[in-house]
Amino acid sequence: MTTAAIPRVVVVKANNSRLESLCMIAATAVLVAATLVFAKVNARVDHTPPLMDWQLRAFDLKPTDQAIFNALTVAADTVWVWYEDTKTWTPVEEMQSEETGVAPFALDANWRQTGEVQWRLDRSFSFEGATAYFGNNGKVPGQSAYLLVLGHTHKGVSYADQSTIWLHPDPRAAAPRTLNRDSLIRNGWKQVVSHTGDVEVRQREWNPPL
Amino acid sequence: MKFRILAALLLLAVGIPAQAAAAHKLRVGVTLHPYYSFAANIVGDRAEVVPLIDAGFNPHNYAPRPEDLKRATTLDALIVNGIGHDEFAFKIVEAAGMKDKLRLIYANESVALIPVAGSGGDMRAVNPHTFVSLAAATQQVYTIARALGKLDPGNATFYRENANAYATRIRRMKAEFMSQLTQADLAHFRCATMHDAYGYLLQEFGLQIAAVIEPRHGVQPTARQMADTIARIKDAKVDVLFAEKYFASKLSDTIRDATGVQMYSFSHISDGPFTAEKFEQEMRENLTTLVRAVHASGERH
Repeated sequence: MTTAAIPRVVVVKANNSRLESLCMIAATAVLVAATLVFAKVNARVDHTPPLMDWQLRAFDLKPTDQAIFNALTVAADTVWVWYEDTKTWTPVEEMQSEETGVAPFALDANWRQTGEVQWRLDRSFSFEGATAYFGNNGKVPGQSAYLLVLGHTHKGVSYADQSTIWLHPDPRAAAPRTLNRDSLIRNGWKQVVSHTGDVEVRQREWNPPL
Repeated sequence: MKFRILAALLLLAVGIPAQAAAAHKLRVGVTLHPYYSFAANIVGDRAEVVPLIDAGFNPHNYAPRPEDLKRATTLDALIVNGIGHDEFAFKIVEAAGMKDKLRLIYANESVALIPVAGSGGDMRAVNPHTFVSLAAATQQVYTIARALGKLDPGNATFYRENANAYATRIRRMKAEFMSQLTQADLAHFRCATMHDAYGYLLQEFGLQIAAVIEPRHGVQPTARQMADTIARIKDAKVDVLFAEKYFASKLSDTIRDATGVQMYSFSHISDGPFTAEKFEQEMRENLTTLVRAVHASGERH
């Protein structure tokens, strides 16, 4: 006759189980806190100006509008440099010439590809302290009408020597009668906010530009 | 007699620093090859242009070296791209203890940036390759000239005039190649690029990029990304792939075999010696390639 062995379950508790649990909780808490601090310290601060409802972000533009917008920002710089030397605003015809070739005005392959927009220089806003290059009648479906405003007088105020670019969703929009901001907004124009290198540098939190 | 000697000594004391100041040429550092060309053409012989790191180093995996740190301490100003292609410069400046001393000239300060093709939503990354372009290059030339003029007012007019002349040369080069595309059918031209270095250049010619192969420079796409890209190339009827002249990649061969695209190579203007002519020379080669690719594509349609 055999006797079946009765299994015995013995629970062995660690001597310092309570301490181990506390250590684990503390370690987890330290890890979480360190992660939060790291995230806070290394967070990319968004220096992008908030967008108003009458503004568009350049990154959101359709390819044709974006190409024309970028060309206009370069053209604005070029026109300023020439203005410093000649004290006159460069006529569109001059920028259309094969030799000078300033986009988006130059009548070249890029101009055809971006809708053959009809450009003109409007000096009639000089009493407002501004000059404008206006472009409409582009042929690419969905493209806009364009307005480059160069604010040039009233030195000492915030808008002197600044350029702004506006888009109108109707490519056949008429030239504005005034460059007053509220009037432009009322008439459906939207100002394009560009992501410049300056903004990007601030995003990266390096030294501020000169 | 005593009075004469005193007067002579006084004149010497006043004159020496003035002469020294007049003789002091700015030492202007640059991070990337195009900035060497831009700066050299702006300053002529009135300032010294110095590459921050020697030619031949890959900026993408650069670690600061003692001679670079030493060089950084000798500069009056440093021209940087500042938006993602020359992070090594900031490591050097910091390691050399020049962070608050060295004047940084951000060439892209007023350049309107474009997103990396294919990056979307809130994660859109900025394309830092403004220096492989023509229009954005002229804008950077003006910015650099203005900044150097502030640092060296005596030569400000000289710098501005040189910047103007250089920008005019760049515009003429663009016009020259644009005229070769007068009869081309750009509307049906579809291209992809290995790396997103050519977004600005192609945009200036009214061209759009249908797909970018590498998610980041030198980063191989995963098998899934590769399959998606190949599908995108086929869907968009892409028939030209622009690879990089200095970066041979088996990936481009794989894509060519899978899709039948024609391969061309652009220069990223980031290799070889730093010279004043480099930007114009390599952009001219790039534009020649672009015109060839557009015409060949047109013949196939």
